[in-house]
Amino acid sequence: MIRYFISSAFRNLWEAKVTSLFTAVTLSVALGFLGTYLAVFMNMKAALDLMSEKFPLSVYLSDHVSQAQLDAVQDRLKGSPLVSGVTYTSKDKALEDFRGSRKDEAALIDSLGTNPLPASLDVALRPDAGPEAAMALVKEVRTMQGVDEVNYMQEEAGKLRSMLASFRIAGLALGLAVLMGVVFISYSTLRLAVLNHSEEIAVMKLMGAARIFIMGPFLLEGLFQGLIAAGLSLGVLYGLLHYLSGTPSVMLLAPGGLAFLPVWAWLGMIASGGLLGLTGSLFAFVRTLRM
Amino acid sequence: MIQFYHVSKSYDGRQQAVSDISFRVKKGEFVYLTGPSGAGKSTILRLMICAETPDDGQILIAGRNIARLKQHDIPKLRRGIGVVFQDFKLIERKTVYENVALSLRILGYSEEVIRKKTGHVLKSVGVYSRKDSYPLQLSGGEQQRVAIARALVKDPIILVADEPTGNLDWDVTQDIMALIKDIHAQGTTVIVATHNREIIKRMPKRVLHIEAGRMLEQG
Repeated sequence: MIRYFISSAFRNLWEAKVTSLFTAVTLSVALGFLGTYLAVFMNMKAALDLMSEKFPLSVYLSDHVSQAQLDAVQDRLKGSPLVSGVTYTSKDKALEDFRGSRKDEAALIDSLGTNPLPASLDVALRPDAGPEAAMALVKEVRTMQGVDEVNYMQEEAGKLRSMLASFRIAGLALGLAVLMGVVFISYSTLRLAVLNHSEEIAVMKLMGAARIFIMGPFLLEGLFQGLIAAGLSLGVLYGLLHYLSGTPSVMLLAPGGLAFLPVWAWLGMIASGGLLGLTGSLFAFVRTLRM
Repeated sequence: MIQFYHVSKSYDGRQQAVSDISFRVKKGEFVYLTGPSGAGKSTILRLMICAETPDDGQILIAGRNIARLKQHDIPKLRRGIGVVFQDFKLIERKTVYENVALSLRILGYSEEVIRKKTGHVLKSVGVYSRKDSYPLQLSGGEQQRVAIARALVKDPIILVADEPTGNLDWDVTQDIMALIKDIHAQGTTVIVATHNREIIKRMPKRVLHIEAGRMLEQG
């Protein structure tokens, strides 16, 4: 019976291939929103974690910093129990590093005639350094002479994390909208399919077909449409992330490239696509037959 | 096998299709249901397969009172009845083979059994060579044979045929009736609704005659 259901479902899809394709594309656009949201969310979170981990605290020095001022800042940082190490990068070393990592843009820097990059101190914090104590140190160092700017990633990350939290709420709303949208699209298409086969359904009922026998192919049709749509949206998303990973602005933010969705997320998307398609077709069948 | 007790049925509460009909059909019996067009023959057949519910009276099919059947029991009852519809009711997008095989799929037979039984019944009604054709590619007589094959393939306990030879020429009519006679010979209870007196004359059996929804004669 399962074989009959599957072959009938594929036959129905094939017989209405234009409608089936249109539905699969529409469903995939809806599911694609969800996939894109997940990918953006996860990559943003990963980038933030990386930034906070790799560059916890950077002190940028002014171009006219004296050796005495530099020593004073370094001594203050090294003397702090929160700090595990301080690395000094001179203006020349910063330029050299930049040239090494950004060969394409080195010519642009050279055309300026001067070195625009500041000298800096990269500060490694101890793992047990609390954010409040670290913030107090940051505030103190900001006031020291010769210091131009202090970047404390936890501070920036904190702001971005609160943005991410709002983004998560928006994601829930988007997820709900997509869920309803997918069910509705699937419902509308399958309703049309059920109506197109209404005479056949009537004959099958007169022949004594059980409800599940009549419903089976239509339910599978909805399931397949959902699965195809989820596969399609994941494929497009994968291609898009791969393409974006090669663009300069993304390389700056995520040098390792943008990550695709983790296994649980893409498996979840495929399962959701199938399940939502199935739900839509079930609604379509029950509603249409009741008329 | 089939019992009607004072059965009445009207459509939209006004047009009386059948009125106070009572009759019995024994197991293995062959019965003609005759009468002019619109007399109520099709309504009686539709009542037998639970496609309609009576307004009054009781109907017993194979010992079961259909008024007391639960919704999910109706398909079970229908699975035991082979029906040849007046308009064939073949599924246009399915081939001849698939139309006939559907009867067995509904009963849950395996693919192997379906292949064997379907092939056999198509040969016996003489349309095996058209098994891959679609209904609309067949002549009226061929469509009628396919409809009969679909009803027979599941070895029904009751065969209900509504005007099975309507609009067919005499040669085809004789072939179709011979097929139905064979089924009856195997012990199936047969009810044939027809207004063709020639058939009854050539193959005499008990006749239930109705006119204007009333039973006039039980021969």
